Amino acid sequence: MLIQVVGINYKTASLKIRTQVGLTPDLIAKAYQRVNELKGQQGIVILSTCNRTEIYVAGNVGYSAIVNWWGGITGVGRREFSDGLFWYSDTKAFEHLFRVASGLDSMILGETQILGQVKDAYELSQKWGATGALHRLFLAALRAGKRAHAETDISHNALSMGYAVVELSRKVFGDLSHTHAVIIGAGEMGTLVARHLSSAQVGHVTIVNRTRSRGELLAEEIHGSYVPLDQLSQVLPAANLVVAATHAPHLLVTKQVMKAAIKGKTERLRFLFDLSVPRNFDPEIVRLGSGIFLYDIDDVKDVVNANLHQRQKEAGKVVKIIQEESGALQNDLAISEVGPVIRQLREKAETIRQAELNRALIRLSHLSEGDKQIVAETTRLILNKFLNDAMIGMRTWASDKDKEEYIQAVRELFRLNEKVAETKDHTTTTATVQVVQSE
Amino acid sequence: MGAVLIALTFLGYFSASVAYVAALYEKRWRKWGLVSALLGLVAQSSWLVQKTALLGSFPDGTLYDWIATFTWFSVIIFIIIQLVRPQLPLGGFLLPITTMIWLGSQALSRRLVVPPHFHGELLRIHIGTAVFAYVAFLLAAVFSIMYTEKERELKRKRVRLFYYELPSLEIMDAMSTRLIVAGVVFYAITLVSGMVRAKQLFNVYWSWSAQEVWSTLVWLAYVCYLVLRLRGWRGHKAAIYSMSVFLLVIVNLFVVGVFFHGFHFYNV
Repeated sequence: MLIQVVGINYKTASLKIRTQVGLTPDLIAKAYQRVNELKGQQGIVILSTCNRTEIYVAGNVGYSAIVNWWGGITGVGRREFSDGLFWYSDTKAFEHLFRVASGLDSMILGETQILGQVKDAYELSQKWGATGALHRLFLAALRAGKRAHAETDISHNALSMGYAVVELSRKVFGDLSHTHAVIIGAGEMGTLVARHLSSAQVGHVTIVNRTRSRGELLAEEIHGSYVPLDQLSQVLPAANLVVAATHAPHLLVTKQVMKAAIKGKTERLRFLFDLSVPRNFDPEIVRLGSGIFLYDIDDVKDVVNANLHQRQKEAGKVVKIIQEESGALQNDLAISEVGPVIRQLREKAETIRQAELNRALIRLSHLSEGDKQIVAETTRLILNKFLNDAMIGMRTWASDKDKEEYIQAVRELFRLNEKVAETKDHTTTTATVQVVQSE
Repeated sequence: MGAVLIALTFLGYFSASVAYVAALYEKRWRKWGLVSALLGLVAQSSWLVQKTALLGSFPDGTLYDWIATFTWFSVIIFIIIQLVRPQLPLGGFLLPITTMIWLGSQALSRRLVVPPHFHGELLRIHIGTAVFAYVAFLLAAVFSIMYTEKERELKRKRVRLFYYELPSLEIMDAMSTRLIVAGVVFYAITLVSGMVRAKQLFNVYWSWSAQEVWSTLVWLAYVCYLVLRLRGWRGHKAAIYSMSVFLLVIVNLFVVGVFFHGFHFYNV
């Protein structure tokens, strides 16, 4: 069975087009209501986030049918967005979803949020009863994503400035709950860092800001305290984590100020982040004590870059996991397609054997029970030996691209389809039933 | 048989050191480090059992045997730490030092000259607590080395290996101190029990032998470390101090213990 994905993401299309054809929760509901318009589909899952909209379809559906259907839901003509689309089928489609689920395809390499979004997309499709033949694919993708995060460091090490400040502080202080942080400047960057530190359970945060109202507002939000800028030198001595993010055109913390602040405790560990341009800390401060670390905005960026490099190294390990999971999934899917044929063939042969055996044993009533058993056993062995090679051969079709034709040939050769029609076996795939109906 | 076990011990500890250093760069080497360390430990344990059977008591009569016990105990402590904290990259720092000390001991005399009537409960406490104290001092020095390595990367702002792999500076600093506290307590027992035993045997508590003086100096140096910490020493200075004092411990083993042993005639 064909499994394909048609989608649009931040790599293939502009934000404008992505917004136009993106599927909001309402549109997704609409789409699931209209799945039957897509003839031949045997399963649909829609994955929609701010960076991507992807439609996974199982069954013999043409690319243009999917695009038209999508355009129909959003009300956008296919010409307007078809240039930004990507399309993968079978193995390529599996591997694409695995890459997405493990964060390899994300804008922020290795981010973990997307795994939850894939899970949500799968569950929503299940809720609408639309997942069909895509169950195994999505379960495998979720497994691949979980393995990527658990077995590699792909999602470790900060990639944003705000989080990098927290991470660097942790490298020095470990648990931050005993640290006292001072944040100078309640602007955009100051707020960002304050929120990160607050969610990292920092012991106490003091906001120092020129404008009182703004400083107090931020202090309230993160359950910290506010101190006016002119009282900065009073809060510095107790602080072991100081972040400056202001637009002040001059030094706020000079060597003299710092010297007074660390007096008597020169060996204490202190981490100073000067995220302001121009600088707010005198770079000479680091000479005051061996426990002082001073990072400016470029230094933090360097750490972020080093972290990105680390994640890129881990990406290779994730690719290995994806290959493993993809291989396992293909095998799984193939067996699930070949399996029913093998079972049917065996059942048919067994039925014939039983019928013929019963007839023969009636005629051979003079035989003892032991002899009858020998006859029965012989017929069973003949059948097994005869079918054995066929079974092994069919299992190897699992990985063959023409397997559907072969399977069809076996069905016709041994007239297996008639039997399916008779028994109306619920466990057989929808594909089989469709073939029967079309005859 | 003994020679084979010694060779296996060397093979195990040496390859564990190499693997654990490699594991700093590539984590998959870690399991080989653990396997090798276990191999070395099993070989050394067998050697100790064999020697105990031969002597009829635990081998503690020579400096050679004492260092073997010290190494053996360090590796056991190391493996316990690894089982509790598998992510802690301690092996790359600790095992090379332990292996070097053990290797150095191979040059020492194995002749047993301590008279049997010297043995006793007090001597056993004296020797045992010395092992505990030295292992604590060794680990404290290792945490100090790790501290300075990580600190250097952070200061140079070129984050690489140690930035990602080692625990936070605060934790390593605190670990050093705790270990030194433990070491100081054990070593105090070592010194006192040694003095009391000397009184029993030679009727003097103190005879100004080099080993006595040096060991007391080591103990005082570590006590000084604790005093300095109370007076505000932290981090960098404390780490350098702890590493330097451990050098005095090494000198105590391989210089004082070998050449100026006095009545510690366990290496003659």
